[in-house]
Amino acid sequence: MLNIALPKGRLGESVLEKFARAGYEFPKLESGDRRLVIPSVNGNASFFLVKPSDVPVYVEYGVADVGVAGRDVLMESGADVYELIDLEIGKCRIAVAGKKDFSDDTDRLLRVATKFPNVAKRYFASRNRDIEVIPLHGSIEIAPILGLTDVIVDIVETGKTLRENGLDVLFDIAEVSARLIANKPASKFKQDEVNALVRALSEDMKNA
Amino acid sequence: MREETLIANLRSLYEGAGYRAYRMRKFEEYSLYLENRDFLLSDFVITFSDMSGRLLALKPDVTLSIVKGSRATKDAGEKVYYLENVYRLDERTHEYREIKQMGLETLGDIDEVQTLEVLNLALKTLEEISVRSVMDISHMGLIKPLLANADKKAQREIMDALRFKSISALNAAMENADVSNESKNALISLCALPGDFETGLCALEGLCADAEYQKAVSDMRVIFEGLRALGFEKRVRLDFSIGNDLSYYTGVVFQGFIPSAHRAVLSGGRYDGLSQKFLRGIGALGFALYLNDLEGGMIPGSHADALVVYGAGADAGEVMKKAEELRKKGLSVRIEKKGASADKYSIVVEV
Repeated sequence: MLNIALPKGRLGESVLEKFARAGYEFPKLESGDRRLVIPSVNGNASFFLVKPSDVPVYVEYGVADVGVAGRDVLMESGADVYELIDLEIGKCRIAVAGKKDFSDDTDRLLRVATKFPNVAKRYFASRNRDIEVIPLHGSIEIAPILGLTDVIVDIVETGKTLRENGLDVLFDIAEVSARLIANKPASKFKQDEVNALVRALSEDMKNA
Repeated sequence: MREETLIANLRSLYEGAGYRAYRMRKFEEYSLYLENRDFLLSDFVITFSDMSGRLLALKPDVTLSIVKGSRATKDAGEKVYYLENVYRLDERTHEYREIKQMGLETLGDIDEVQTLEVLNLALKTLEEISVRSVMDISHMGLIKPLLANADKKAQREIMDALRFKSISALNAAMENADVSNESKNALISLCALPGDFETGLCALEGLCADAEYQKAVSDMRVIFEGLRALGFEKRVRLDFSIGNDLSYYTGVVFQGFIPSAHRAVLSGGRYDGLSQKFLRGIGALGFALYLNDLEGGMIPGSHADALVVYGAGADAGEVMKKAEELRKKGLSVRIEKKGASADKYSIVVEV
């Protein structure tokens, strides 16, 4: 039986649909059901629904054999896991955004607000730009508007929120989508089960 | 199995192969690590000054000290094993960790026989811990020629993609890199290879015509035939997600896994770049076993090394006899009815 860590929330819903079509169905839960570990309908998997940013942790430490995490979360965590398939859902990009008239004053540190401090540090280091990271956990767009920071590093889907706040994408960092990830030893010792899941999900994507 | 028993067994395994015990000084001069930082996993080293003002360090690595102090020549190689603690920064938690390592190094004229002997000792080391252990093997000679023209940044990104086995990251990394179409296809094949050694070897042959690459393929074939003769063919797999350090490893690379640990517990390979910095013309090969990472698997709270499962109607005496046989080998053994989860046990026996 495979232990599968899946993200709660919006991404989780489309992931659950995909897994159900592939034969790993999450059961319908009664409204007061507070269980955190839930067996699949036909008993071939055990699901844990966890915070999206925690999925790589559960998988890297082998508590879950496989899991689904966004590329953004994987880039930030640096988890040592295999990235087996691009599930092509939750597509967006991680980008640097700022005020439309932003111009970089290289004479001083660039202040960057973000939920992704490691991604931001790596990206600006590759451009030889010193930055000061200001970690925030939500409504990142407000930081440059209020003058807290010069720019932000955040997820951009359509860019509508940015535009409505007078901001724009300045540079793209990476394309993001949900990935099926696997614990390294588990993909050796449970090779047949992991391969069966990969095949079923790939088949579903071909038919989509 | 208790750690003390494992260490004693490994000592006799290594001494039985003619390796002598190597004991390190407690501290090394910091300059050793500064001058050879390319060969270290991390730049962070714990340093302090002694009474005479020398800057000393708590060792982050054993291999460097062994190579530096070695007098190996082509005619008279050196074979040593060690049990040492090293101090490394955990990049994730930003805290230093004390890591207990047991390993061995062989320095000299390393040919296929010497290589096979080290792989044999690595596999036997893993077998001491779990009969279900497996070892992934790769060869830098299969990867380096494919990246020969790519710049350092592209090389790093491509190696990272291989480490994650991520085809999409690999395609993205190769998009603007100076890598020929033949090499791009070869890298994608290496990334997607299913693991079976024999099938993989056949697939490797036609991927690239480069002489260094073809030499590595033939090295791998010799290794596999040797391991097959030793009865290890089911326990080894081809895998190019390991040993992604282009500046350190120069030939065969390997990592060992056991079912109860969440990451590789043994890691090793050929590192002639480092040995030739200190010893002209001398090759080097070795591995280390990370004893800290075994703790979870050796004596976990509710588990044991081995599980004996019995079905309805099994002879109770037979079940006990089987468990006692395993216990005499130094293993802790748990007895459960058939149907119990066997995931976390190194050995599972059904009566």
